[in-house]
Amino acid sequence: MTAALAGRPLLEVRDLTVRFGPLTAVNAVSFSVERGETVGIVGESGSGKTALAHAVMRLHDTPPASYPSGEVIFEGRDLLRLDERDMRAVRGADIAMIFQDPMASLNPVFTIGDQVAEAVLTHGRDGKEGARRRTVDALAETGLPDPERLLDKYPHELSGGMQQRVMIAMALVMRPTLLIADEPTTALDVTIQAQVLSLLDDLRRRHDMTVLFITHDLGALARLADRVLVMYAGHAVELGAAQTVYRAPRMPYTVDLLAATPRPGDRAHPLRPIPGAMPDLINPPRGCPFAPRCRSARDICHRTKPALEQKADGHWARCHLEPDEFVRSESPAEMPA
Amino acid sequence: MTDTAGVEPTAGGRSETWRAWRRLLANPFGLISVIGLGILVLAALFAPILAPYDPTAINLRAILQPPSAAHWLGTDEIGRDMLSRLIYATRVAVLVVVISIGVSIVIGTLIGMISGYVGGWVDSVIMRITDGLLAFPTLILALGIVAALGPSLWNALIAIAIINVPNFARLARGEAMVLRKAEFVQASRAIGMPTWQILLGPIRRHLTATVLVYATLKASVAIITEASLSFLGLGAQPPTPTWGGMIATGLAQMNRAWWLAFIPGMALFITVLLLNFCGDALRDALDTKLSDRERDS
Repeated sequence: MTAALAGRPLLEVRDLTVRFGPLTAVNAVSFSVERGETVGIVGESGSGKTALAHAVMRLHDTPPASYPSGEVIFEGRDLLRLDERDMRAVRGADIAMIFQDPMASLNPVFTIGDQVAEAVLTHGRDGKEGARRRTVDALAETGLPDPERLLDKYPHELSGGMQQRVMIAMALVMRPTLLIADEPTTALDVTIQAQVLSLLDDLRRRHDMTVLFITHDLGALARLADRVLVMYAGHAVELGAAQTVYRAPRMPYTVDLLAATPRPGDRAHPLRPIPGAMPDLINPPRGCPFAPRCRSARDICHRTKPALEQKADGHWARCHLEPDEFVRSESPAEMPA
Repeated sequence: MTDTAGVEPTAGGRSETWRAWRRLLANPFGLISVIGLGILVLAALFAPILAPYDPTAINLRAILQPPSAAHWLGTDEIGRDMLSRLIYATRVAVLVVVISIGVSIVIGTLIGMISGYVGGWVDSVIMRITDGLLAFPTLILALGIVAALGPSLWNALIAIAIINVPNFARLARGEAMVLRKAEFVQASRAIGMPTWQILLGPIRRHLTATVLVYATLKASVAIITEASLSFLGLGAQPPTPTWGGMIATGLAQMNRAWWLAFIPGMALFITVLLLNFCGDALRDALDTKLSDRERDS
């Protein structure tokens, strides 16, 4: 089995669509994650990045969610077609997830030790003693001091940064092959964000882990990601090596997103917010989903939806225009006509 | 690693249950209710040792005696010792709480949790049934069930259990519906926990505090319901002493010996009061965890 899988990506999402009733949260998204690679998914709130990540672990309730099309191939198996029992065996053991808000993701009525050990015991590979040992190891590995003493603590007795470390320990305790980090730093303050990011970076190197990193923080991605998938209104709009996407974006949305991101040491360029809001996901516009907010949009953009095309080697974008046709002004934002 | 600097020492002890007990006993109402209810349970357990007389022994030479050194609480119309009857009657009250409320907690919470967590048609079916049961006034429903099953202590216990199931089911359903969306439940699913384990683990644990507080309040109502059934002759049958039955027979002697109805009435009143104190104190004791957390963050 391993031989047949060699050379194939660890995770391959093909043409995945996620709907919530009439609303299309993820629209025919395809991408893959190679072994050992870190892929960042970036986009503003409501772009479908979390819906996509939850779909990979099949955490959505169906109904209201449905998967009208697509495959999620993980180690040769289509996760969308696994039965619930097999899927549970994958969750936590092969694919683990770190959630946005550690305060909300830790159960307030269980001790840290019980919660992390639960991740081990659920998969039934270790007894109580083994689970305890793994728990202490995992906590220690996330840089938490005196893990033995932490076992009997309740989540509310820890700071936000420590809680997120506990969440990371809980995700790593079973040594998953794929780690999905869903905005792991959003709920933390800036100094702790930096610590958690470097911890994740360190752990992924040490364990040769594959990471799917979801964020709206382009700065965080620049540090961690090998490749970046930009999402907008449920669509994959740009996909390519992180450095290329940063230096030479091929989609006006990415250009605007970069312009809206503060860069340390750069005081010359004022931050330029993207005016307008995400289109209606129930009745999406006919043309390019970004066209209504796009400063470079032309007639064709409003009329037909561009396909995700390979613009350069390994660099895909969904845009009718070439980069030299993009409107780039550093002037303050104006509402497009 | 500045954020990892200080783990606050846990106040007093390790287990949250132990801390909740401490807070409960630190509250004067909590302390009074725990002692009072403790005495009632001990009285029920050790009734044969504590009772000075056989509660059913008839002594026609000493009927309707007022409280005296021989009979501290007097005697009833056929000369039975009121104190002994009162002590034995606590057994029925304790049974009502332990069996009826116990059964309705387990069944009600379980079906409520499933209903709220699973949702869909399962929820609709379970909730329509509970709505149907809740549509009846509780005492009328209890009367109906006992009338159908026949009057006896056991049937009264069953009836009281049945009428309380919908209340606990509603309570558990509401909580389960909220918890289902909670991120830590999502996180439990993300580590691969099966649904039943999520229900019996994280969700049940969350329900415990709410259900416990609610149960103390329901227990007081259940004791009154049992007394009402016994008063109407549909609960435990004579000569088994129950507070409700004692009030009923005492009422007939109201003009000659008012204490016959008054004493079991007071016992009932005090027990209900203690349970309500206990419920209030328990809610505060179990809530403090939340305010602790609010204070911390």
